[in-house]
Amino acid sequence: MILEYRLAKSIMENEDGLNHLWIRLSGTDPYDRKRVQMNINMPDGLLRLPNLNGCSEDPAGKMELAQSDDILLEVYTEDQVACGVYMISVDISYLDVRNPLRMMLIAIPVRLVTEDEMDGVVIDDEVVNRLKQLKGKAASNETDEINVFGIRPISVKNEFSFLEQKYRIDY
Amino acid sequence: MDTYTAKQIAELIQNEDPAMNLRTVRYYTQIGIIPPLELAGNKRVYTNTHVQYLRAIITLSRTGETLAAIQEKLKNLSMEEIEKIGDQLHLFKSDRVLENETHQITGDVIITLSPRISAELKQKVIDSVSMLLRGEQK
Repeated sequence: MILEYRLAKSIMENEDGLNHLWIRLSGTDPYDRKRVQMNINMPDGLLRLPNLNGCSEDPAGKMELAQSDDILLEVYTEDQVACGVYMISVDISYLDVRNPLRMMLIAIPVRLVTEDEMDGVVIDDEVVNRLKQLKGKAASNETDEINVFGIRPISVKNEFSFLEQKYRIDY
Repeated sequence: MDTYTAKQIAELIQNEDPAMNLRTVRYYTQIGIIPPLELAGNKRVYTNTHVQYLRAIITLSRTGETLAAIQEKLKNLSMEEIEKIGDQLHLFKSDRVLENETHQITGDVIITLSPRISAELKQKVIDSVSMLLRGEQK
């Protein structure tokens, strides 16, 4: 299996910067691999959101690629960090039809620069097009907050009210 | 012409959508989701056009549209139409969607009413609008 990666922006801001990392699996028939798990280790100063594809991801950030051949990640900087090249490490494990367990490890370089140096940025249109195909809150750069809303059950007074009273479930 | 820096425009939009931030504004600019910046002297600046585009993009993204679909839709619209889309942003706030009652009077007229409106007044509003649409005058 081959692991390919691309970044939407060739460089990104060392403060309040945003970028997308697209990782694709290829080289083998998807049916020949099972239990594909991916773990992303971010360097200090560089952060990421949960994957944008909707693949299952545990709190530690381990992703399970059940149906998907790719992963799109939103990476960002918040407070100013030193300029330079930072490495995102990706390890992946999967079960192969011939070999019980295979593992791969790659390091993806991300170059952080000041805002003034961003004029030289090169945009990878293919990554951007992939991002644009995603539904929902792409490029929002905010994690979802869990909001709990209380929705009042509708109570209607009519000849069937006794049924509502009989079968209503109060949570 | 009002002009803004990326930080100023992000703060302006944050009043309506707290999720919008500086990096998203910059990113949308870099990947061409919003029109290119304009030149004011030798500086590239954001203008009210960009404010309206961002408000419209946020509104349409709340309806579940992809960025590609949003970009395609906005491409064919006038600034006036884009502004109108952005003006509906407040309708998509989750608390409003959950709490308000929505009444479809006809295929063309939908009323949303806050829970703060009394039941009596709600009925009056619905009746009045219905009568107007039927061409009846009170």
